[in-house]
Amino acid sequence: MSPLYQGQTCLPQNAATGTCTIGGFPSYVVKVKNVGQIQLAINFARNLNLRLVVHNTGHDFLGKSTGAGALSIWTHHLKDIKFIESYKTPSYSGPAFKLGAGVQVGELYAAANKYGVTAVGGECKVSPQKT
Amino acid sequence: MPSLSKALLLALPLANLVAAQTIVVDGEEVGKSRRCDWQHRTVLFSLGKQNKLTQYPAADADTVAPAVEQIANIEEEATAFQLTDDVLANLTSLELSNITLFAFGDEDATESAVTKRSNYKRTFDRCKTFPGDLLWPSKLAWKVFDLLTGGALIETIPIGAVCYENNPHYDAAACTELLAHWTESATQ
Repeated sequence: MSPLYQGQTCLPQNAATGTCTIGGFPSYVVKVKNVGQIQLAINFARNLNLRLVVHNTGHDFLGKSTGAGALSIWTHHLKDIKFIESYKTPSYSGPAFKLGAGVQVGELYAAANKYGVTAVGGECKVSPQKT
Repeated sequence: MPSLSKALLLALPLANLVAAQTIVVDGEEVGKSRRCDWQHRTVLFSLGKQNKLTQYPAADADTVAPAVEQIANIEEEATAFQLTDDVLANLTSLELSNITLFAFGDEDATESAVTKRSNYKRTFDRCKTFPGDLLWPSKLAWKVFDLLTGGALIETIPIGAVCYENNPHYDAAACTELLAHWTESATQ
């Protein structure tokens, strides 16, 4: 999603003349499904002084979800969706969703439909939720 | 158990990092410690059988299981599985060395975290460790990391690598397929 920050390396169209380097891609990615894996990754990165980036579905136009030499925590598969019928904050009370970081707009809409409520999402159906 | 974390971190000299990547498992101890005393939680950690490892361990999915435990009364599956001081202590007691690499930071320091961070920067002024640096974790360290996460670690291979003839991942058919779908958002 951010070819400029990634360095536009290893584009399949350039195979005849170029070389394939890893460019701005992270060196390793943890495909996380639970909190424990995130904790392991953060501890590993901190204790070894590694660059750490967080990648969700890849919609960061400023390239923050990529990083050369980094360890990447990939949150795309955190898909928990929990419907809370009555949720109260000082400024809001009513139905709410508690969403995993990897839940995409289309999935949220499907869940909202299931519970008969409306959710306001982002630009396109694959966008990660900003919640 | 912040004091545990502290002790673990203090026991992490720099030299250890360089050599870090040799993991020594004491076969006897490992065998003994497989017994699980946990009653209220499921501990998804175990170290396998016949480890006659003096130099390099046969660290694989059979001998090292994910280092997470299920916390009771948490509904969401993703949140329910966590790395805890207990898990770390368990790993440490099994003498799988360099487990300190996965230890938590010092929670007591939260208050002065900002000050600490700036001091740290002034004192050491060092950059992040990058691939090719002396302290970059070895393949073995990454492998152990992979095992502790339950096989969740992916070593990055650029998606376009299949199109480069001089790349080990060259695959003409996969390349054709990739080029055919390159402009679709699902591809990237």
